[in-house]
Amino acid sequence: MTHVTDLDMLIADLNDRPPALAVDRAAEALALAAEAAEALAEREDYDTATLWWAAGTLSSAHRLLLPHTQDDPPPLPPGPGPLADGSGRLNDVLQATVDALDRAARATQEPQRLYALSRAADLADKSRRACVNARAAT
Amino acid sequence: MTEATFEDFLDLAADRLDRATLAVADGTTVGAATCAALSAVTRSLIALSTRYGLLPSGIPAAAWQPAVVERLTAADRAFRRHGRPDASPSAADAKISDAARLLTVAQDLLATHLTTPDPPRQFARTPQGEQLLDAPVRDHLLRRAAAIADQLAALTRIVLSVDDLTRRRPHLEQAYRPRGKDLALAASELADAAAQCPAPTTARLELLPAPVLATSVTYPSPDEDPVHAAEQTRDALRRIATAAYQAAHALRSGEYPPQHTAGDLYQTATHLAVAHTIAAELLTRISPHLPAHAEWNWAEAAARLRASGAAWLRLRRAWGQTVSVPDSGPRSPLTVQATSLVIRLGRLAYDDPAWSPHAGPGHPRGLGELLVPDVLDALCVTISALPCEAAVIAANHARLITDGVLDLHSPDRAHRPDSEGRRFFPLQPAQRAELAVSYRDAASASKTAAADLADLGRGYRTLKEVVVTFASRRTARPSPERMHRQAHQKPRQQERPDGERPIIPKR
Repeated sequence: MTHVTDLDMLIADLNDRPPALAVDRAAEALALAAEAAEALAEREDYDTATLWWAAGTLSSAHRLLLPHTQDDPPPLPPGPGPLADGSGRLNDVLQATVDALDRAARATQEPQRLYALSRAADLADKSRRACVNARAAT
Repeated sequence: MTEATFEDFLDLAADRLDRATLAVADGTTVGAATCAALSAVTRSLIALSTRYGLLPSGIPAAAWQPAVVERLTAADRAFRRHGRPDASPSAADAKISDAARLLTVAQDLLATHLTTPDPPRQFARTPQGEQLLDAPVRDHLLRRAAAIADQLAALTRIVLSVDDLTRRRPHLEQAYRPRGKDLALAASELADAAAQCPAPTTARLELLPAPVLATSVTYPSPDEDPVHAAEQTRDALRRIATAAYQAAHALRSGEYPPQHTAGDLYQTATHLAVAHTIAAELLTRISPHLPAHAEWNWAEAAARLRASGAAWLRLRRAWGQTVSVPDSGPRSPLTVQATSLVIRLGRLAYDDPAWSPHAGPGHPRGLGELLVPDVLDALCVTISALPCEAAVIAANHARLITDGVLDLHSPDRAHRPDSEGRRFFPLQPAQRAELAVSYRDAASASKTAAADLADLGRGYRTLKEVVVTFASRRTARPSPERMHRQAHQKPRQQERPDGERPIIPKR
């Protein structure tokens, strides 16, 4: 139950926080999602190659964001957590992350930050679609 | 933090258009905001094709440039009839607007290298800006604009297919200019604009924003993050090269070129000599762990770096009896930057967080630390950038000397003219010639090393991808025997009993 609340809070933060602050939470969400995609890749009812690609892409997006976060990033999660339960929460979190990053990119004036946020949003969106397809492909 | 180049922004704009296409196809409402966003992208393309499609003399960079601009303008007119910038944008509209903004930012990046973005009378402010004035680069930019116009045409066709305005308001079918008709016209004009381009380009203009010379410079602090140190090294190199270019090509643009003296040039030459040697050492250590390819010979590239270092070192002798009056001291920004780049490279190479050039070669840093992918990536790019920027620096420093921009003197009493009691004497022609020849040698050696290391500049991860792609293509390519067998079997395989050609399934 605690995990579900954490995810709800994460999505709420991504949706409601001011764009600059949402970037920190977006980085956190990407790290969690990368772990979850990696865990799902091990399961039988998912397309492994697609999910490995998604996990790698999400890690790249996370790496792009790190220089643009305000606080030190929280330690990486020890495991995939409830995002990997296959209930579609991964899709919700990634969609909220993409939207938050898009908003933050629109709010910034600094070109390199604009690039990092926009690119991370694109990578997260591609990974989100890949995760959906990985389930549908089986 | 990896800096984004011009092409990165264009790629991002193309990705945004792809995402917008998906969003439109998912079922979005087409409205006045959609047309306004499409118009914004078209106007960005018009600006790109006009500003960078003409040579500085005002002549088109390619014969097909005027036709592209004409068709883009027609498409923009069609969009603008139905666009209202104050309309509420949908998610898809916002993505299209993002693409327009990214195209503008990409052009802003180009503009940092020029005095004025609009031709005619554009002048370069940086060495890269000079390339930007050339016809081949402008032709490339036009081709990139045409490729994006093609993508925009496809998006417009999809927008047209989902636009249900006339279903919702049938009376608008009879309007003077129905939206559907104008969207179809715009799509056709955009496709025509793209069709003017004879062939798409595969080249990439990896241009970074021009460095800001006015920012303060300091010596590096100990224990700098290796990736940050590598980035700062590249930044210092670009700043020194740009400063040298601006001093050697003084423009009457109201900007004051950075002040150079004999001391700055001497220190730069000395530090670049050491930097080449350290870079060769680093390359030798990491090269066994770099992807292998028939076209890459890292051992030879390291030897070329050492040769460049030796060529730069020969300049020390040439500068031995040459001074400026007054000369700059060790706190001159140019000297601080030249010193800092060696300090940073040394701290990357040696296991001493407080290393300085006076300490000489130190104990090598653990290989494991250098092979962290991010660090390796940064090292590859930095090692490749060093001879490339050094060649630019050498060419421009030589020009400062040969064109007489620098006020140079000889402190050698043997050069004292008769009946003069001064302490510094005019530089002898032989001294000037020796400096010019030494700089020419240094530029040539650095240029050769830069050519050998050009691929390394793409970074470790990209090199790895190149090798993997190449290997998979080789695996996918059938052997000569198999190809021969297939060639003989082909007619029999393709023949069907009913004499019809087989249907090849779409992949």
